[in-house]
Amino acid sequence: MNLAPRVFLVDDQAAVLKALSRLLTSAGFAVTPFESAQDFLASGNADAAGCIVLDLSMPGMDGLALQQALATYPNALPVIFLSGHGDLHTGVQAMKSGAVDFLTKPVDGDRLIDAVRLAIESNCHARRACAQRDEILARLASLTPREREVLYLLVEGKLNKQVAAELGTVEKTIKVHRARAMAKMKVRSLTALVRLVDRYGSANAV
Amino acid sequence: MPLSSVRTLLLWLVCACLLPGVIGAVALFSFQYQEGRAQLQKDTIQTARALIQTVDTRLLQAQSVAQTLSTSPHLAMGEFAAFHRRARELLQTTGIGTAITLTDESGQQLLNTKLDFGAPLPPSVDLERLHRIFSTGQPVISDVFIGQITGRPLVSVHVPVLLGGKVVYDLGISILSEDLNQILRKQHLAANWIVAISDRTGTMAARTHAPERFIGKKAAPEFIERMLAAPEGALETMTREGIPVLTMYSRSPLSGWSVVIGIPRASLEAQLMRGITFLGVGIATLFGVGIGLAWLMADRIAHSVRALTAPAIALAAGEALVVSKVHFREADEVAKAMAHTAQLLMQGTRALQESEGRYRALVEWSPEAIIIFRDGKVLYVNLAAIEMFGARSAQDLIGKSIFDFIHPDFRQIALARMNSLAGYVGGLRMIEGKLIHFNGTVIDIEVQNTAIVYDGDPAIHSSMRDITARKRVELDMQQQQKEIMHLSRVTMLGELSGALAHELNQPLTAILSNAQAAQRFLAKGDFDEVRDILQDIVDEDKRAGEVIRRLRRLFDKGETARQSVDLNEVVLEVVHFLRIDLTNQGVALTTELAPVSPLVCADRVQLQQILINLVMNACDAMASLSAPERRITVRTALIDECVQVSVIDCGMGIASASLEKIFQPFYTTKEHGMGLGLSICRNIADANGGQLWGENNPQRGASFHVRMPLLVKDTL
Repeated sequence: MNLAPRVFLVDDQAAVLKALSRLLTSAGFAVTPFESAQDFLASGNADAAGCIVLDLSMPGMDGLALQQALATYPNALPVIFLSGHGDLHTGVQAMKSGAVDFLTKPVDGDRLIDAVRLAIESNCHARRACAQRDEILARLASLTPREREVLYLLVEGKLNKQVAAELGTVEKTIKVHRARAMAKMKVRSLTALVRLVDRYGSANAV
Repeated sequence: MPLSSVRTLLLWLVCACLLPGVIGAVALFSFQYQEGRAQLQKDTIQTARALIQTVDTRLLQAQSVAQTLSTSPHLAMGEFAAFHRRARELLQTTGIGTAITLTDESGQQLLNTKLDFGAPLPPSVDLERLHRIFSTGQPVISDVFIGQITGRPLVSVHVPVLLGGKVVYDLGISILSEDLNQILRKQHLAANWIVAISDRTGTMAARTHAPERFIGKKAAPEFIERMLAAPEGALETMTREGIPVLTMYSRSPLSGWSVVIGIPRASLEAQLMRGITFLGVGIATLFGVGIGLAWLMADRIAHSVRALTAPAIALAAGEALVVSKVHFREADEVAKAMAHTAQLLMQGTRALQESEGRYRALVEWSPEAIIIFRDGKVLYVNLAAIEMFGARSAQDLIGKSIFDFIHPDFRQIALARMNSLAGYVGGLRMIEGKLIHFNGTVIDIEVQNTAIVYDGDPAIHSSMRDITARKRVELDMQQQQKEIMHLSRVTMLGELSGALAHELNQPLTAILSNAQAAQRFLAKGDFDEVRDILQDIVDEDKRAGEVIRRLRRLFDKGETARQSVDLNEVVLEVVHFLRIDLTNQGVALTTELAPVSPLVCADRVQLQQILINLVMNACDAMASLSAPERRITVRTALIDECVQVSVIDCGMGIASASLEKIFQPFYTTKEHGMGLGLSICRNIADANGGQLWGENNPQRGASFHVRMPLLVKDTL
């Protein structure tokens, strides 16, 4: 997968597609145009890096339908809508469904470029956060069940002694598990461990 | 040919009736006469036959007496004196004859009862007969001869006297002719009949009339000849006295003697004349009576018929009828019919006068202007016509040429209509035209012309109505109609504004983005890209211009122009025009177009307007459906001589009660509709010679159809 951010353009009007793609290219973005929503889905770029600029009304699959299709991907592209008529109702629905921006045609170049830039940045952040979470989840996954039990009890703020009592073992054993878990989770302090587990480590995420 | 009188005819009739009867009667009479004559002949011949038999009997009696006598023993003994005595006794007692003779073979008489026995005797004269008896031994009857002793006509019967089988004597009995005459006399025959008895040679042996003159004389030789040819017969001859008679005779086969009966023709003809006279008198009487009666009746008929002449003349003159007495029923019936007719005629005349008065009043006071003219000259005008033309009185118009008042544009038509009415009775349909008022202004009229008879000659009756005001109203209405149509298009513009905005938005978006991209490329000094962009901007701008132009065309308040239009093209244009709006509404539209371009004569923009309306209505009808179900089909098809455009949706359809109401103005089922769309569409369709109607589909949804007559190339 190409990790350089790209702008995916979807519009059924060839002339508009060409003009927008020129504008974004001139602003330094890598642009990939599509004439229909189906073409885009077929290209397999739904969870690529970058953003998608989407015309709202198109024959066949329209913008909102494509947005819903994208929502099924965990790491989907952020959506910027372009609409021929600034229909408030549709705009609200699009934003609710997680669109980054909702612009009306004819769109000002700077506004579009800003919106695209922001979307790519947010996509970048999201992708980074996502990568981090994957890393931590991978670390959590590498723990033995005993180590995970010890870890959760520690995160709840229990002392080694209390943990040992709860698990029916001695404090010395708990200390060994604790040191091994800390090493696997690549944290030096208990505070850092607590922060990590608090952000990603809910039990169901494992 | 001069006409015959009733009298002549009746006389002919009588003759005709009587003549067959008369001919029949004459024929019958003639037949009866012939029959009577034939019957008379037959009866007479029978009488003759009976008479000859009586004569035969008389002669045979004598023969048998002679034969008896021949066997007398006196003869065998040769006692002639005794025989003479015996014979005389026999003659006296029987009266069979006048004398008995005995003659020997030499012809010498041996005995004669006329003379005393022993007196000298004359020899027999008829030796030939004597010889026959002696040679044959058969009895012989003599012809008439004159007795030598008596000197009177006699007839004798002779038999042989046989002795030892040998003829020795001839025994004869002489009979006086007068004795035979006695036979005739005893028969009580008609007094004028001349009856005679003749012997084998035709010599008369007896005769009723003048026997003394004719007995012993021969009958006429031609008669004898005829008589010898046939045993019986009838023929017309003359008697010896010279009397013309009808003669009937019968000859005895036994003796060869005949009886001849002569009826004088004079007596027969007298009878015939009597019959003819009776017949003639009868016929004359019949004719006389018939002709007299016919004469009488003819008089009465002629009188009765003549009695009807005066009333007929009175009827024709319209005067009261007086019918004198008539003598037969038919004439009476005619008289009554004439009286009835006179009554009806009187009523009719009265009604006609009333009707004429009514008609005059009607025409005179008719609210419609009425002009009657002949050969273009005005003959009559009513009050309304005077008013319509602005004349002071009828005199201003009468006698003038009708063409002075007809607008020049209509003079040709008026002339053609007048010509078409010439020699024809009936009316022409109403047309519109223009007239010129007395003050020079133009009046719009409706006129109806009828060929009539006016004062005995053909004329034309023109009935006119001033429709100037109505025309003005019609023009106003047309103007208003145009305004409404324009208004409707403007309304449609409002409804289409979303689609239009979008349509314009596309090129504008492209232009703006292209322009801003160009600014950036310029800043970087990339001129090649800028050149391409500028070209695209020009193209897009042109596209926007085209959208605007098309819009303006659609909403122009221009005059309608009907021309040859390809309906397939119109459909494609409308679909193109609405495609973005359809996309926005999530409606899928498919077209099914006729393979051959269907040409119609219509206003292109108005057809587009109808189709846009119908497609937008279809979209509205499917608003409650989910997007994939919203489908519209637009179809063009050739049906008969027409082309039909159908807009088919799959919405909720139309309540059947509303199917016609939806075409009424201000009827709407939409929340924001004015209810004008379909009513205007139907007006437009009508104005273009088409039809517009809606119906529900068998499955779901409704269809609207516009049907236009197919344009034939030649008529363009």
